[in-house]
Amino acid sequence: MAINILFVENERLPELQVGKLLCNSRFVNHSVVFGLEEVSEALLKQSYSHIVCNITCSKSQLSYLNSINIDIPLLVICNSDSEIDVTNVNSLIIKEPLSYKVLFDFIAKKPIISGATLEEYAMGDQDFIDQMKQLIIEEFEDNLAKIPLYLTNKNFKAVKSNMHQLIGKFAMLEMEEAHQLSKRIDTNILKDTDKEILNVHHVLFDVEIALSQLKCSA
Amino acid sequence: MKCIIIDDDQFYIDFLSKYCEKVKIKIVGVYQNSVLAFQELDNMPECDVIFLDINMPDISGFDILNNKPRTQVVILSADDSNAVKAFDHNVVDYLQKPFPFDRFMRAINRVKENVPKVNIIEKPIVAVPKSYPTREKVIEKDGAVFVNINKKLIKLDVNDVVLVEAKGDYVLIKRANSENLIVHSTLKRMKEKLPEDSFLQVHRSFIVNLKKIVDIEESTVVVNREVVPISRGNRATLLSRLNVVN
Repeated sequence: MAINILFVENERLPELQVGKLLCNSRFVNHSVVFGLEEVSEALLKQSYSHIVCNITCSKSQLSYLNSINIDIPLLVICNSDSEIDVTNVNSLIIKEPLSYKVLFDFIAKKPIISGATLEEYAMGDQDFIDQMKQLIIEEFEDNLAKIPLYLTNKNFKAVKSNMHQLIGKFAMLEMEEAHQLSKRIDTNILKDTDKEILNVHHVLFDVEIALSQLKCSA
Repeated sequence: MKCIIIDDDQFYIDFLSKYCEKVKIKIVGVYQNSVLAFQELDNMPECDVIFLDINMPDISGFDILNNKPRTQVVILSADDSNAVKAFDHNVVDYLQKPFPFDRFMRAINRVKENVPKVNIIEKPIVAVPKSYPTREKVIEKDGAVFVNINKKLIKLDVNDVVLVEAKGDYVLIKRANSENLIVHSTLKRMKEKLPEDSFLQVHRSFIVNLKKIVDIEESTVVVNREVVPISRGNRATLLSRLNVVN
């Protein structure tokens, strides 16, 4: 799944909440608009996987949120105690502040993995499925621990090797975007390193989400 | 039947081991370290097939292939980019990870075709006649193609044929909706009999049905669900026969 978040902020503050949130975490694709009235236009321009709204809970904002009839998971950050009734079934409402964990859990709610291929290839053998899932979990944990260190140490040969091994697992879990990206990184990272580093971060973010979903299903 | 697995990826070692276990193929050696596998190539336990990963650190699968292992080799790879090069090393088959069990079994059947007296319990996917005919094998009558299998003429629906693969003195005819056939004939003879407008030889060992082509890469073509290598010289001819939008 291509993670691309539309953040809706209240006003142009010098330090945006989103900026603080993302600077020390994964390199998540995102855009920021200021005010709910800009949402429709932003959605016309490109597609987003998630929307995060930082609102003040005024009546007009609430009624606008209720009028948004889109099938995109919506996270509403609200500083008020007033009850919010957002009919969007994908919505999640929290009070400030927005932490990386809350954002991650919200994103990870949308399934990015499928067990269909694994189940088909294992021919219904549950032990086989469980064993394969456990191996993937261990490898993903290892990837999340080691690949950032390889990037820091500029050990791109090791990044390439790890990406290569991930290709088959992404195919097994039907993670199409991560599959394509990892193939691309495997081919290009040693010759076009700077360009591919961002893709490595995108893959790692997908690995992190997939890992959380695998652990839930294991 | 006995096999050796050489792959640096523990996941696929376990995956393959499980498939082997299902058809009672005994694993007599596992090498996760390709350097060690390379060093021990001459002293490996006897086996019928080596499952060999291509992309491994330090020593690649091709380094091992270049050292001419005495056993038949089935390649394991995350992508198909090395397929032509691998087939040039006379590997028996090329499995792209991940692969389903029936695809694995096809590879095993290919190994079996070259290994006498193997003891596989699984029902073979390829319908091998008990005795092979000795006289003319492919007969064309009124536009239809008949193949002689076990002294019986069987009408071949050419529209159902996916590809024809050379197998020594025989050809393997893979069909989309019927079981595969092995006929005592040559690729040249099949080429003469199959309708020219629908079939093309894309490799010295393969004729493919153009109508069944799903996609074409630099060095391979997917026909129905089969990945077939394309010889460099045949690629241009293949593209000229297809309706390509540039």
